[in-house]
Formats: sequence, C-alpha cells, structure tokens
Amino acid sequence: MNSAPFKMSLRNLSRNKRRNVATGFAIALGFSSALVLGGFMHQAENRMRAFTIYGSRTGHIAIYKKDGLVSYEGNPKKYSLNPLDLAALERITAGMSQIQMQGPEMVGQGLVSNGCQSTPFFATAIDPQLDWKVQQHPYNLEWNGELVNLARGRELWEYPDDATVMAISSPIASFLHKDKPGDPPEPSAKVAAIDCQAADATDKLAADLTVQLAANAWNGRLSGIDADVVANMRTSNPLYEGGFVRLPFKHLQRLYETKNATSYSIWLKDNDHVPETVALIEAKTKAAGLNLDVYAWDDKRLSPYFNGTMQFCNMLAWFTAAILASIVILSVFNSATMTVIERGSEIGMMRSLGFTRRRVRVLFVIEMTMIAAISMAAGGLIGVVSFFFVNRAGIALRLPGMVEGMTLRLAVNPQIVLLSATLIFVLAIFASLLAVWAVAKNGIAALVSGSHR
Amino acid sequence: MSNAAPAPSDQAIVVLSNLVKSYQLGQTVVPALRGLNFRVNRGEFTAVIGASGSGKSTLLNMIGCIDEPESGSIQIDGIEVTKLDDNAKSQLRNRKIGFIFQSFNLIPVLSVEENVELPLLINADVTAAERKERVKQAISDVALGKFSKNLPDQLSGGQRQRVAIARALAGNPDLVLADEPTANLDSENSHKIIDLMLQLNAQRHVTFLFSTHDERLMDRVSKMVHIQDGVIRA
Repeated sequence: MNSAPFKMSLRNLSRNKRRNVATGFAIALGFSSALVLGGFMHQAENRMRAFTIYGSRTGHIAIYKKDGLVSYEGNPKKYSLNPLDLAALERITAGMSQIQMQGPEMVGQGLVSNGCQSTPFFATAIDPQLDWKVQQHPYNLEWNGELVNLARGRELWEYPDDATVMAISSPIASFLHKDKPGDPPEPSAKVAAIDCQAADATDKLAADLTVQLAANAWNGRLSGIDADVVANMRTSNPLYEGGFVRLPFKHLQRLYETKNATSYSIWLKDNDHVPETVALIEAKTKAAGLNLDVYAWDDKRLSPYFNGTMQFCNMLAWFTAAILASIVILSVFNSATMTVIERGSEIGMMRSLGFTRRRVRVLFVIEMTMIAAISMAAGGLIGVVSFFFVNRAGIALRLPGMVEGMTLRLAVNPQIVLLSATLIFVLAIFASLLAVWAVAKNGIAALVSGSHR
Repeated sequence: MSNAAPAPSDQAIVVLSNLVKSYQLGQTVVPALRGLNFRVNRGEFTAVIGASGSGKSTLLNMIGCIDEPESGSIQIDGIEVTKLDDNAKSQLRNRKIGFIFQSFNLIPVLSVEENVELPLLINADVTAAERKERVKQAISDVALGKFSKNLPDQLSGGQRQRVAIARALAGNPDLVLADEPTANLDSENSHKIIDLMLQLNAQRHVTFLFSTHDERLMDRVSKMVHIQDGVIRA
C-alpha cells in the first residue's frame, strides 16, 4: 500500500471529533502524568542515593570488621577496624583505578555539655579534608546540595587540622545556647567558668563556643575533650536530629582513646561499578587474611533507610502507574470499540473490496497511532509545563523519614520519558487492536448489513 | 452508445451446486438456501428477483464470497471458492468481483476519486500510473468527471450510487454483484442506474448480477431468475 491508508486515517480523525479528543485527552493525561511521576521518582531516587552515598558519608562501599555493622555499638573495641586493618585496606585499594576517594569513619555516643546543661549526643567523624571532597562532589551538589549547606557557621574543613572544632545539630545548639556559632577565639580570650545560676548565664553561654564532650573510652575509662562549636547543621534525618554532632575523625578517636575506626568508606568515580568493585575488594581482603565485611551502599543491611524509602516510593509509583495504564487502556479500548462498531459496514465494504482482516486492522491501528502520537506530543507539552510550574513553585519535599529542607524538583530522565512513551503508545495500540480484532472477525455479510456485534 | 446487451457466451462465470445455507435466529433455524443450483454466463446481465426473505441477498453474498455456505459448491471463473482460505478469497474478490451496495457504502472522508481508487490500492499488479488511469476512466464512465474531488456528502443519492458503480468497475472485475442497487433511489434515479449498468455491461462486457424487487426494472433486463424459499423457480 502507499500513503493512502495514512491519508485515510488522518481524515478519519475528523470523524467523531469529540470522541477522538476525549481519547487523545486520556492518552495525553496518562503520558504527562507518567512524565511527572517519572520526574518525581527520578529526583527521589537520585536525592536518596546522593544523601546515602555522600550526605551520610556511607560511600559506595563500606567496610566493617566482621559482624561490626550489627555488633559495633555493643562492643566497639572488638568490632572496629584496627590500624593494621586500615593500613591493609589502604594497600589493597591503592591500585584500584575506579576508586575516587576513601577513608576511615567513626561513630560514637556520649554526653555533650555547656558546663550547665548536658544532653546525649550521637557523633559521626571523618577527616574534614576528605569530607570536603565528599560533600563537594558534583553529584552530591546536584541532588543533595540543599542539605550540604549548614544552618549557621562554617564547615569543619575550613579550620586547621589541629583545631578542635565541631558542628552540632540545631536542636542541641538551641538547648545548649550554642546557636550563634563562630570562629574559635584565641585561647587567651576564652571565657572563664560560668555561674549557671547567674541572671546573665544564658548570654555568657551563648558567647562561649566551647562545649565539653564526655564518653566512655574504649579502654573503660571516662574520657572528655573540649571542642568549639563552629557550625549548626541539619541532619535531614529525624532519628538523629535531636542529638547529632560531627567532628574531625582524629578528635573523636581522641575522645574514645583509640586508634581504631568504625568503618572504612570508599567512593567510586561513578555509580556504575559498585557490585564488581565490592566483589573485588572482598576477594582481596580474604586473600590478605582480613576478617572484614564489605557492603555495597544499597545493601539492605547497611542502608535500610534508603531501601525502605525507595521501596515505599516504588510501590506508590507502580500503583499509580497501574491506575494510569488502566485509564489509558480502558479509554482507548472503549473509544476504539465504539468507533469500529459504528464503522462495521465500512469495514464490511472494505473486506468485500478485497481488504484482508490484517489490512483492516492496520488501518485502525494507523488511526490510533496518529491519535496516540498527537496526544503524546500534547502530553509531553503538558508535562514540560507541569515541570516548569512545579519546580518554580518551590514545593517543600518531605520524603518518608526526612525532616524538611528539600524542595521538590522534578527532573527529566530520558529513560523514563522513553519508557513511558513506549508503554503508553503500546497500550494505546494494543487497546485499539483488541477492539478492532473482534469486529474484523465478524462475517463480511454481517458487517455490510450492520448486523454484527 | 448502444444499450443492447452483448450475446452471452456459454462460458460460465458462476456455477452454484446444491448450495445450502441457514441462519440461526435465537432458537430457530431459518433456512435461506435449500440446495440451490444456479449458473451465470460471462457477459450476462441478470436480475435475481424474489420476495423479501426469499434468499436473494444470501445468494449474492455466497457468490461474492462474503458469506459461507453450509454445504454445496461455488465456482467463480472455474475456481472452487469454498476451498479457499480467507486471504485467498479476499484476493479473489479484489481481482474478479465488484460490489455495489444498496446503501452505497462510500467512505465519507474520501473524495469520489479516492473512493473509486480504494480497491486498486491493494492490487499489487496495478501500477500507480495505471491506477490513476483506471480511476479516471471509471469516473468518466459514470459521468462524474466534474465531481471527482467532491466528498460523498456533497453528492445526491443517484450520484453516490454511480460512484459505487465506478468503484466496482475500477478493478476491471469479471463479475459485478449489486444487492438492491436502486432500493434507496427514486424512480428516475433507479432507471438511470439500471441504464448505466446496462450501458457498462454492453461497453465493458462485464457480467452483472443484481437483486431487486422493483417491478419497474424487471422489463429492462435480459435474464431474470426468480428465487423463492431458497431455491430457483423456473
């Protein structure tokens, strides 16, 4: 056949305009909704990935002492990486070109005090210069940039290596009256002991940046260090928000009087080679006789929050996608069924002229293809406009389990666009084919006479 | 241009033997053809007459390969069509048979020439140039040249049926089947359509077989068969 079927199909669009517009609207709405949903999921997944790998300093790969992930808290000395482990890991990973950066991390608990009031803390520690590289990674800035910024003050990496500085979460800062962080004063300018009962105690506490950290050292003794609060921060995680502090790795080591580390994090150059790098490191650590556990960043045991959130989001997305697909398929099927039944005698006439069933089906499929193509172009336009307005509106995004601080930013993912377009297109064609299939199977005489079903 | 019919040849274009067909209407089986035997020779202009429900349309549907008999034989130009599959029947209809329907059955979004061109589009043996020529000739034969770009709804009933005749003839069929072609037309247009069919029968030597119950037309045909209760009466 030549271009005649296309010409005929195009002209047929002008018949039953209202029905075709309704069908097209269903397809356009389905496609634009799929784009918006895909845009939401794309940004949610990237934000969560960036937050987990960079924001939480987990790395693409995290290495713990055997069973350390679960048992570290109960017995940190036994389940932490000792200097021999850390040195071996540095040797093993030294020649691996896919690794961009790496380093030890430590977490711990204790009490933080302003001299008058104390509150429990949960601390994470990493070398500030490594942290700078991690936080300034382009992928992290793109997706997690809103959370990188401190609420107040300056980042730890901006201070000399030996400065005992720390960042504390805003709730602790408020509780301890350390919510006006600044640069540490010269030692000679430090405030003397504060009378907690004095009327001006609060002002004096606010003017003094120093806090005291106390904890049980791993050798069993009670240990304490002073640190200056140079920043207030947001954790974005409500579980830790009330008691979270961050300080340089070597100072937390000093607090616990250890040379060990909780874990060893590795950041790769991209997100694509995690499983094979995990396998390689596992093999190398085993060969070196190290008793370690190696985790990929998205391992459910290491990142239950990422996995739980994404599972929840994916479930919602698939459920919504299924509803959208049902709306599209039912709308198209309903419309196509009415059209082919109405045009039964026309189908019969074409069959009597020698058109095979296949040719008749192709004609209707071309017609639906045109409706789908036009509708999807319109749907794409609606999607683009929706993206523009949603992103411009600055809607606060609250992913499950996260505190505020993020803005909804729909992001175009070409793969999702292509997948949505293909899916909606195939569904529309399938629905129209389903409708014309049954009618075209009717006897020609019945079709011509209009007695078909 | 003469209206005289050509002398029918002895070569049969249609041969039906012991054709049986019935329809199921709810719980009732209604016989339509009861062992019908029938023969149409090449070049004949034949009217099938009979009361409503006598089996005229069923007979034409069987000959046109758009309905299937329960038993019996249908030969079109020597081909046993009951043994053909659906695609082969489609090809046979396209190459050998032209259809004219009571309600014209034109595609409303196509112009006159596009409607006439329709059966040729699926005939791979016809080139684009030949197709164009045949369409032009068919439209000229039915005297609709100046309406070739018009859409069907811009034409009268008689003109629409002439378009249907042009479409039926465009494929150069051996046989044209017309089921009550004048049923939706007034008396004047009915006569014009029959005249046109007679004229084309004479000019092109195409075999015409049409059903009618319009008594005004019966004296215009060279051969008339009467069908009653699913069999041909003498």
